[in-house]
Amino acid sequence: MAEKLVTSEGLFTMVEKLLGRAQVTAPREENGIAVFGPVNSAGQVELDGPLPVIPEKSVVFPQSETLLRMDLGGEVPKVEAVEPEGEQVILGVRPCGLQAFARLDRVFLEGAFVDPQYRRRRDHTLIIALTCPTVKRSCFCRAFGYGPSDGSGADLQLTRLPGGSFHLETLTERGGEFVAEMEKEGIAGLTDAGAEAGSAARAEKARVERLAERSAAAVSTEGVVEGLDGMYDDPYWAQLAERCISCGICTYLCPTCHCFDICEKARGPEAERYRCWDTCLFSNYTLMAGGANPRPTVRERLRNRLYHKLNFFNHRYGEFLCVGCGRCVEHCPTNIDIRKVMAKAAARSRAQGVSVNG
Amino acid sequence: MSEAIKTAAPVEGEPMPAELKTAEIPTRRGPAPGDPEFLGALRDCCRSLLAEGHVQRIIAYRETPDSLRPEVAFFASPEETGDLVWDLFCNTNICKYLLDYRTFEGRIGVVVKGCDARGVVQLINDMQIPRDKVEIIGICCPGQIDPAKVESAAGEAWVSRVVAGPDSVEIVTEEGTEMRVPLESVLTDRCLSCRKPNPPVADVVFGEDQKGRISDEVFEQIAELERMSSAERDAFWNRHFERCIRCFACRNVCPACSCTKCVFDQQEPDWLAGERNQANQHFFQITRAVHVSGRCTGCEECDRVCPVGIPLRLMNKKLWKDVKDLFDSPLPGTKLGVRSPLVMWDPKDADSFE
Ligand code: SF4
Ligand code: SF4
Ligand code: SF4
Ligand code: SF4
Ligand code: SF4
Repeated sequence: MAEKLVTSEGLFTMVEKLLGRAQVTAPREENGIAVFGPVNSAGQVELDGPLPVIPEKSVVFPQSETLLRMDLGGEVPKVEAVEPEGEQVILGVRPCGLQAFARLDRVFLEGAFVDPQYRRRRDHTLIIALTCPTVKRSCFCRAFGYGPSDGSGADLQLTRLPGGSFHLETLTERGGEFVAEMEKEGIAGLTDAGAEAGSAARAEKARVERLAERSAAAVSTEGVVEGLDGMYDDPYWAQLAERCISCGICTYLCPTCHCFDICEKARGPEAERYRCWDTCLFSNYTLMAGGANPRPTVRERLRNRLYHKLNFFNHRYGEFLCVGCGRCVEHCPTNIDIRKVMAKAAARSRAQGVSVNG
Repeated sequence: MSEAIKTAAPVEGEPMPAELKTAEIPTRRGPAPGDPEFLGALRDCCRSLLAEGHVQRIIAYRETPDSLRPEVAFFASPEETGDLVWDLFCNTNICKYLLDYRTFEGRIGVVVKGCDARGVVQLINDMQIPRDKVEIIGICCPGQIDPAKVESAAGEAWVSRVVAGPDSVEIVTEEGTEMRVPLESVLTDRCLSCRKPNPPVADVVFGEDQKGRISDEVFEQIAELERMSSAERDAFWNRHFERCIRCFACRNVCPACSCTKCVFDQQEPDWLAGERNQANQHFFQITRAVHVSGRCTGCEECDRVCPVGIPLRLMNKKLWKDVKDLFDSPLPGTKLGVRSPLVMWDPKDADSFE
């Protein structure tokens, strides 16, 4: 695959060019906090900051989106499906974000029902990944078998080189077309990467992988699924739930959480059906029309989230729904740490192993 | 208008139950945080409260392997208190957990900083929990440290522990390197402008009164907002509200948000619809801010937990400033037995009820 070298000015010009033809989402800073969000000038893009708090998923799974538009005024109501429009580019996706897209793809695109909104958005989104410039202590990607330099799933991958320029790697055909288009436009500062830039990129990737190695020593997935298999009724969940405030932080910031609610609104004869993010941590999530709630307390709700990430999804899809981005670890107001839950489950599985084997 | 209200609406108009009028601060004090005896004395105090049956539960913090992030913990027996901890990383405001004990038979001890203690008092004043059910173990707070600031100061190295001194902190990394940074550079935002670090009401107190940090930054920012045209102000808030992910963490930690069924959770009618449009985002933020005004203790826990950095404190402090100017009432949570002027009425009010 092609390797290019692009200066930061060159990248700036590329983003400016893109803005005219696609909705661009990138990391930007708001009140001191890094978030993924739409940008309307290249100057807003902040690639050197920490992992953005708001995850990448909002690009293919927005907080709320219209599904149907209805006109109820006539004899026969008119109903029209709304298709997302236009092209999108998401810039600066971290390897954990790429892994998260792959999980969301399985949920929304596999099996008998293919989600049309998601499909349309996914097909019209160009993904430009970024090798993580730093690895936080809350990052535990390595536990899930990939690391901060892994671009799989992206169309293109940027790696910041020590001199300030970026190494730009083409990973898919679509990525190649994009680069060819940019070259045709004659972007100053976009050149073929020589051997030197190539090896500088490899060295940078090796450097961040080494940083991530530290967390690999601290967190492991070994025995997690099995341990949880036997822990559903453990008093542990009630203890953990005691301090959980049942907010939406861990789910809404999670790049793989994908639950939504479907609602309608009407104004005069015009009506709309839309979907919006929902979370299993809210009591309304499982509230039935008759008033019954199968998950009446925080214990059941928190347990559901943790099992979905570390057990249920594995039984169904053969992989974890947690990708180790660390957002929930870092932002939980009461320091509930999924890595500790993993360690607890692993310990349980070891104990079971011991008792089974005598 | 403000004059009329000021003279006509007495803040302490309604009689309060007698038990609310107990002495506010004991005279004997335990050692201060930073004193080598402090933690032992705090543990002893909690242990004997449980052992002697004065309380049946203590809400405090427990050590974890990550020394920057102690956990909120609920201690039910004296034996459990061995890993109870209180240091400069106990950021979480624990007062709201008292609501989980509304029907608990027994007394609950809470280990609280100045800002947390105001929350406890506000919950008592709002009749959420009776005063005699709570044992307030207050700590005169030297200011708390924001783990994220420490971690960013340490750069790529992992922080192993932090040793706090009066004006600076020493950050020790896993690799064994040490660096010293000014305390103010790593303090939690709210602590940088905290004027009331001492618990206003307590049954036991640790440490001597702290001065707090007098910074006018927040009020300067508010003055700036007040000078804006309404269109500019609208744009300012829009930019922030747009980012709100509606996680409700701000509400869930707030001691002034004590409704058993919150308006934002109602489904029929769904006052706050799920759609993230401008009207809904504004409706949520403004409704909450107005509803807590007059009872907001200025603890800034909402601001601290908001994951997307919405400057909630500006809104809450602006409303507090207005309530104070209009009604001349004390900061909520600083005095037992005070009702918020916005939840009272007086038949002699200067404005008519029609
Ligand atoms: S972020 Fe923490 S407190 Fe909030 S719901 Fe998740 S685990 Fe509970
Ligand atoms: S569960 Fe937490 S660490 Fe795992 S992917 Fe979600 S937010 Fe990231
Ligand atoms: S979890 Fe890994 S991939 Fe994600 S930001 Fe951290 S280092 Fe990068
Ligand atoms: S609104 Fe915020 S500052 Fe005011 S009491 Fe509630 S949490 Fe504290
Ligand atoms: S904590 Fe912040 S993001 Fe969450 S609901 Fe409150 S204002 Fe919105």
